[in-house]
Amino acid sequence: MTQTPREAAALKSYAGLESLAELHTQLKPVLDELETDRRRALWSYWGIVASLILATPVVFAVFFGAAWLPHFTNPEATGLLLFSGPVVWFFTASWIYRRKAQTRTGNYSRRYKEAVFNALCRRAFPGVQFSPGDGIPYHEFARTGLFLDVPSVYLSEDKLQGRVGRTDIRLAEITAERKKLKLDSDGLGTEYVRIFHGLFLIADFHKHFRSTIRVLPERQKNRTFPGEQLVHMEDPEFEAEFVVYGTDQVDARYVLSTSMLRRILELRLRWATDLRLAFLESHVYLTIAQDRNWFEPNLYRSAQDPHQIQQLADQVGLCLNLVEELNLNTRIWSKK
Amino acid sequence: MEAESDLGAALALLIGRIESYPELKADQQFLRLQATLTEIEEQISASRRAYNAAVFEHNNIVEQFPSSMVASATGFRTRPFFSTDPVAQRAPAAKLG
Repeated sequence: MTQTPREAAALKSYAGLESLAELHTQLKPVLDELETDRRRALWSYWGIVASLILATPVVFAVFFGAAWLPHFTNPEATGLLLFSGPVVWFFTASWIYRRKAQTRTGNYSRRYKEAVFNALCRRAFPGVQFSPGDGIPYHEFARTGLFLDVPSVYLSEDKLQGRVGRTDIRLAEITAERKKLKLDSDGLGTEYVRIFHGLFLIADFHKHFRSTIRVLPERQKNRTFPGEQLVHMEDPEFEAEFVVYGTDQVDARYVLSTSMLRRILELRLRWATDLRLAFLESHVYLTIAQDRNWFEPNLYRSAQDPHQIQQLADQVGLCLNLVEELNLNTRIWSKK
Repeated sequence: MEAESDLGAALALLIGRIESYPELKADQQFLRLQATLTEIEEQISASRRAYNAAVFEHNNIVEQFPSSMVASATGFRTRPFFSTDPVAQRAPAAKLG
């Protein structure tokens, strides 16, 4: 099995990525199989979507036709049929879409992750394991207290776990949503409001501390935490972006040294998103809100495309680099 | 502040002496001592920052109207910030390994 000239050229465009090129070559048979899977999933997905679209006018015609049959003399029964027909079809089509179409694409995504990510981590990020089906349990997310709302839906997947340098980490993608009642022209209904979607990192912190410290966006300055006080930092730029709560004023400043404040600010600028941190029991918990889904192969991109592996490697690298960005590998304190 | 100044001077002297003994830098006991020193420095720095933040808040209340009226009537005065020379405010560089 050899690479096509396009694939080889794409890989050459990345400097110093011989190991990824090797990985691509090594995974070629698997990637070929995955490509067949992807095409099948894509055909299947669009086949189901097209069938649903085409079936819609037929189903409507049946309902409307039935409503005007001569034996339907009761106008209320006709009205009920005209109303309930489209509603029943809407729910049926949604169910078929979720159950069949999304499952097909989900299966491809899962197979791709299992085959490619683990090989990628073994080669490019030794010491880190990727588990697409695993996540970080809810109680660990809840104990940070970073979000006020209690979610009705909590999903966590794509866990990266291991040791980066001297730091033990766990990172996963998280979605937390809250069920909300809404009243509109159709009556009372429910909708799901997003509390958080993005990356959640738990890492061993390089200093010992006993207190609880939370770093939240500045707009959260009216929140209260039992037993915690506002901690004013002397960095005006940091104070403009964040608000700090802690159970101990000195401990908060010990953890949030002036260099750590700058690092958090830089992180905020680089990611340009809602960033929250909690420091609990010598661990740092970091949430980074993101709109997109991380660590997902693109269904519309060939499974053999080396750029895709590169992009996934970049995503993992970016996440693991958080350890360096927060300088967690510097162990010059008594904690080892 | 005097004690802080003395400690700073002693630490600077110690670090200066260490430079002349490369084998000392590799010694485990010494590495532990250096880690402890770094930690103590950071703890002192955190306490200093916490103290100055409290003084800042206190002084604001003492100087701002209408709390300044109560402060002057009850004898509260502004307090000085804890300051040391800029060199002493930095934790000693602990380059291990």
